[in-house]
Amino acid sequence: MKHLRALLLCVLAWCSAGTAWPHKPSDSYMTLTAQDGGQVLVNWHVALRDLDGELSLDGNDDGRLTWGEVRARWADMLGYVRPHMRLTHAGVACTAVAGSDQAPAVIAHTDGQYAVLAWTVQCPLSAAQPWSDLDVDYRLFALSDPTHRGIVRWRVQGAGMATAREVSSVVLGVTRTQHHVSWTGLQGGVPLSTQADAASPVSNISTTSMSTSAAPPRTADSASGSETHGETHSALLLRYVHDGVDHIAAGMDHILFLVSLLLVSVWRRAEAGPGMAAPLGWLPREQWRSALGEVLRLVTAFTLAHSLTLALAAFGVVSPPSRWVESLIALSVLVAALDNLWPLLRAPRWIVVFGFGLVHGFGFAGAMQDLGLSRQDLAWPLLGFNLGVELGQLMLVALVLPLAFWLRRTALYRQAVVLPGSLAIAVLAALWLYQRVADVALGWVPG
Amino acid sequence: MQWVEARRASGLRVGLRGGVLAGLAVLLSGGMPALAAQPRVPQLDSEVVEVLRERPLSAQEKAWRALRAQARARPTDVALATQVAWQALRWARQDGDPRWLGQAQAALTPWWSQPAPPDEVRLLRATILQSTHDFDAALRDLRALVRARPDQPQAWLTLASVLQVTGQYDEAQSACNALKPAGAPWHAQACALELHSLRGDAGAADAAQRGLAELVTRAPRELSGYLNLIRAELAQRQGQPDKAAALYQAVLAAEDDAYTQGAYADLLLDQGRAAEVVSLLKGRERNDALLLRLAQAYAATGDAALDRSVQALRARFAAAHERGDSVHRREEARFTLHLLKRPQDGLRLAQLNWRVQKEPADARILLEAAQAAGEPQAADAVRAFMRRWGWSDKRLEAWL
Repeated sequence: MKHLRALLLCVLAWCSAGTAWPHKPSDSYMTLTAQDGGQVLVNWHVALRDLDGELSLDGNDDGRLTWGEVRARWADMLGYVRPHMRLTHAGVACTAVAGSDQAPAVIAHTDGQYAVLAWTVQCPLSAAQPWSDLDVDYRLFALSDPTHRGIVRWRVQGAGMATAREVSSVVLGVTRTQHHVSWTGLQGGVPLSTQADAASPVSNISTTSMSTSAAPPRTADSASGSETHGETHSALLLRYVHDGVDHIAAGMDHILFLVSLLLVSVWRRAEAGPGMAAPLGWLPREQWRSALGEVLRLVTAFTLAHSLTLALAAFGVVSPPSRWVESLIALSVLVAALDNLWPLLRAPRWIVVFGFGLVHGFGFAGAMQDLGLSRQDLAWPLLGFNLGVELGQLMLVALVLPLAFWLRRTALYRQAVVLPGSLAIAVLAALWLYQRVADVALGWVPG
Repeated sequence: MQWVEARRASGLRVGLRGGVLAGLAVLLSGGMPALAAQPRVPQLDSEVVEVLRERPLSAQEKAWRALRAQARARPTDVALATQVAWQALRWARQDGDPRWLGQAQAALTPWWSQPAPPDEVRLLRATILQSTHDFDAALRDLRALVRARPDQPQAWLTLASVLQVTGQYDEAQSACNALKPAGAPWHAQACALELHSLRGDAGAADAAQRGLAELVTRAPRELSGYLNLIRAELAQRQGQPDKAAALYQAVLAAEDDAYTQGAYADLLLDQGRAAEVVSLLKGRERNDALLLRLAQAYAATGDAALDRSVQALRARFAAAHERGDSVHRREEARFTLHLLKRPQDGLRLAQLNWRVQKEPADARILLEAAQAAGEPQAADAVRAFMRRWGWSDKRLEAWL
């Protein structure tokens, strides 16, 4: 009862604090890279704070962990974490390769410094034998912190692959200690995470464990191997394609930029000279192909540009301040819309579009970052997201272009669509520009 | 044609250079490259690689580690296990680090999945569950507890708090009332007064404020912090920011806890005193909620540190998502609305949050986000809730 009294003093203020926890609970990050020959590279980031809780790394107890203190206990740390992660291949345990431990190193994660514990594991697999079923069993800190989670990524790197390829990831912890992947094919065949254990949030371990011991090693089957390959990647890819389409659909600024361009893509600039009636300085294009060619040029330029900057930003080469990027995107919409009304842009449109495409790419990067990806395995998500963005754009083109082409000669199109449409877009873009430059939010402005 | 030519001659020429340069400007002046974290090997043994805590390991913490070892050796000893868990919970509140909650839960492992564990374990379990926003499970435990042990004030108090946070005021009222016979008269009064201020009109709020001011003079000294915190929040709702500021300062002078700092920072941000927020919260960046306020202050003062803070917050929310957490929706909604400037996404988060929590701060973020997204009707649930209970808040009037 004594403890109750003590807590009684504070608990209400605590509860009325909304009880949101201002930190992330304990996590570890583990990357498992399967290679030819049955080896798996283990790369495990474990928070120094958590290791200290178990091993008292802070030798002088001053609350500050020095590199000397960490280094001195490195063998203890390895000795502690290693038994808490077990790999089995077709029911037989894989074993650590003697002398494969990597030198001590640390790495920063969002909530502090982590030890980089890395070694190689040999699974019982002869050189020519194919991978079959792999199980990972994760028990780190199961005794000391049931809220601890391990974020485990599986990658494969066959001979001749310059970089490893991420194939699946899973969150493990006491509510789910095991993850099963099955493998087909040699040379970095792609493991397919089975769904059998995917939806079993049972605390009892035995129910999540797979009956691997009974399963005979699967024979190599190149046909099923390539199928597996397709499925896993298309699933991963599709997810990001979907995110990319979503972003275009939700991003009014990107849509309006494209719409501004598309509206007049069925027209061409009137040549300077007397005698021709060219309202707004535009003449309708005669040929369907000429309009399509223009759109193709624009979309290609835009795509190339934004792919470039999206990749640069995603890989962390540059990260421009988002306020600038967003402001410039608004500016690009404004300029594109105004250019429909009177010619601002002297250069061929596709060149200008390329320039603005660079800016929009940074905008996409911001959106992609919000999907919470790590930088390590960006290739597939990047490709998928880019494809999604393209797909979204093409849908828009398919929607707008035929209609615009059909109406291009009419006064209705000119006076009731392009003129007011561009004007409205310009006004909206100007408001965005103001909001983003001045960093204020006008509640009544859409977008 | 005439006017077209004229425009062409005098018009702004953005042209090739303009477009490409705009892109390149961003590319080149793009601030600092975002450093992707890479493993590194420190050069000197003396380099501090991690600050575990701002103070040396206390004798209390050492004793706790020894106790934990004992408890692990005797896994059926309830008294030992609950002792370990209570201490971990106290530190959880003090440090705001949920790792302590994990430690507390670990101590209770043998009983954790039991439908009806021993009373004290059940109380601890409820406290841990409500901390991770599993309010329904927490309420199940607490209701069962007060039925079995109506003489336990802690269970009533925690029950009242969870009910208040989730907006179930009628039942919260009965829990408050039960505190007095359970032997916690001061808490009973404070609990009732705060509820009263949420349930009545402006007049009720004034009366509650007077009642609390009087209570703080009579109640034991160690309750002052908690009472003044209630008073400060109430004063803010009443539209008396100066009074609220003084009360927050009084609380902070006695105890430097993260929640009060965050609340005070919010008040300062509302008052346009962002520079003070920076000096208040600098150095507290490890705490996500405080980093959020700091970033808002940087945004308001045009500080160059803004981008770095936004990146850090983005990464932290991403890390939380990666492990499957959605506990921080209120904070994430604020981040998304005010710093990422994505009102639609912010609105979605604020709506999800409102389903779980119904405190003034939750009402505010939903109203703000709905307004910014141009869908004021999306916050009608808040308006209905406030109308139903008569709850008034001067800060929210602009959006109602």
